[in-house]
Amino acid sequence: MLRYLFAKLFSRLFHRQGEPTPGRPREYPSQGVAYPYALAAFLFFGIQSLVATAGALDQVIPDLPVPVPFEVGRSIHLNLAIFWPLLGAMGLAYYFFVAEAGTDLASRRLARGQFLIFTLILLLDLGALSLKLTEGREYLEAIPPLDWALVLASVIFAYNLGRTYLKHGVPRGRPTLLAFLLGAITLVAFFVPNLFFYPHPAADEIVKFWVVHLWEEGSLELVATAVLAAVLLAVLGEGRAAIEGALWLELFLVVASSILSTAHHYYWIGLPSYWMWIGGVFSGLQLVPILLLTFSAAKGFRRGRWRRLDPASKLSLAMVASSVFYHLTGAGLLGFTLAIPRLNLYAHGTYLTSAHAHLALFGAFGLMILAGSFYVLTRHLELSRAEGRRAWLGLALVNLGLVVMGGALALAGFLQAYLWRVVGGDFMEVQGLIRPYLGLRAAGGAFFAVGDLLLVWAILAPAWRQRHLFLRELAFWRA
Amino acid sequence: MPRKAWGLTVLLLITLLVFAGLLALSWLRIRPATVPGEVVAGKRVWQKYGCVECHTILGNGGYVGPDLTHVAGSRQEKDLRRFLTTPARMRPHARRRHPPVKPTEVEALMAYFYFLDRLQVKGWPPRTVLETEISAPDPDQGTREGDQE
Repeated sequence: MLRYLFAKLFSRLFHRQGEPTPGRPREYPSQGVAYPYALAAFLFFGIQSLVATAGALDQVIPDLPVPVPFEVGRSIHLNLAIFWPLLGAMGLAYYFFVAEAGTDLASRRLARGQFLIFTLILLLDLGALSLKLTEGREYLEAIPPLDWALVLASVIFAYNLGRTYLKHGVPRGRPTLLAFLLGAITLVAFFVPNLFFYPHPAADEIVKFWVVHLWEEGSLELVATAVLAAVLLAVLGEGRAAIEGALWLELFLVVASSILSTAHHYYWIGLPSYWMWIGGVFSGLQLVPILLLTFSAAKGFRRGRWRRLDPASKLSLAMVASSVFYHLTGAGLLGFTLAIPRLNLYAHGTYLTSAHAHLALFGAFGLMILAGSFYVLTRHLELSRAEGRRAWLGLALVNLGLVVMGGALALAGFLQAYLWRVVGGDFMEVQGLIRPYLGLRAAGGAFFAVGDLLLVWAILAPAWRQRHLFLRELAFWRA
Repeated sequence: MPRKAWGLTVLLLITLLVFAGLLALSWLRIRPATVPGEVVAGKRVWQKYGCVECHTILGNGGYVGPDLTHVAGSRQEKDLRRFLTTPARMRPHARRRHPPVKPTEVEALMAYFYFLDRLQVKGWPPRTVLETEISAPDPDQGTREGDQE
């Protein structure tokens, strides 16, 4: 079924512009609310890579004069890594939920207001972190008032989708709608326990991973999977039964594996040994949907009518392909290997984990959200030929950077695990020995950042020419 | 709702119940309510300074500085106190120094480090080859004793 889904996706979704489109979906006015979300996701993605590159350089060039201390830069980098995909996922959920529900959003005002709240939270968070106002929890550095505001924005998101779902005539049994709703509700449910202070470090770690793991491999993955299927369904308007069958399978596998695979974060934090068994088994189970996805994608590519696609669609397709590649290698294979308790004993707390984190973020949902956001933006914007070339070059550099960065971190991590964890070398001396690999990581990061900026430039230039679209969708008081 | 939707809901609920049950068992084992006040104050100091951006505890955090889970058990207390209040230059930097911690906060932070050191973390980090060799009995010693006999 997944094979069918991808074959149809690649051959039919990315049609040549201007051609008659079979089953072209009806456009709903409220889908426009997704536009600022998609644009902002690209913009913050650009900022994240700049901050990250500065941090990577600071690590390999001693006493490098940088405007912010390393610890501040890292907290900004981590917060952006959570916020921009979340922002993009929310916009895409709004766009495709409407298409799938066959009705306008319950409230466009709420969706626009939510965007403004969310963007304000993000800007205030960046400001607070720059002033060293931190909660001091990795990935969850935002200060409590901003956390509460984030809950408010997430509740608005779930409420708006829920009210739309309950509107008269909405087909409530559609798996896409359920996946979006489930994603939205679990975003709130997993975050709320993190509003509180936990005196015990192990308790703190337990709850932290309900966001760090369950948001990324649960809630956001549900949204990303639903986006993929909803795009296909919206454009095709046919083959719904097969596509929905494939999506049901995905949803069952994600639900069955993602929650209990949180266990692989609980091996060494002072909890009972049963978490090792659970983590090993369910992290292995997470590989099944990834392998299915990769196999189906490969089949779909062969069947795809590449030459007939318009430039913007080709680029979106390339982002989807990149996402599948990193999903398989970084999230799937590397993640599964690191979750084996005997190996994790040595790899935990080394750059191997960092390699996995970088590749998995872009594989599981990052590049899929960029692909979806690019799709949404190019429904509104016309890219010139030069901008198209710039975007292609950007994506190529992003991929090159990610491969170099992931590879260098994996090598550094392997050496670090051996020299420090196995042999017993001094931590700082080992850091010195692996510095060339960290330098390579910084070079990969620089490639990534340049590619990222080219991609953002290719989107921002036409967005600036048609800035009235953005401003129109920002006017939250409009009905 | 179709049967599949109900099935998904039931699967989600079962998974969440199993997860919650296992967590409850773990929670009972670590007994978070019994953490001493000085340790809680130390954890707040740890969070206030954002130490996790450069150091790991329990293996989670930044990798530019060493893991501090067992720092209290592997370093002299007076050295640690001196480092925290009057920080030394940070290797490999020539000028950059570790941010200082207020003397009033060092006490709490030390209590936190001692608490971390006592956590049962299933033998993590693993014993290294050097540690094993140092703690193993010297094979030559037995021979010498045998010779004496």
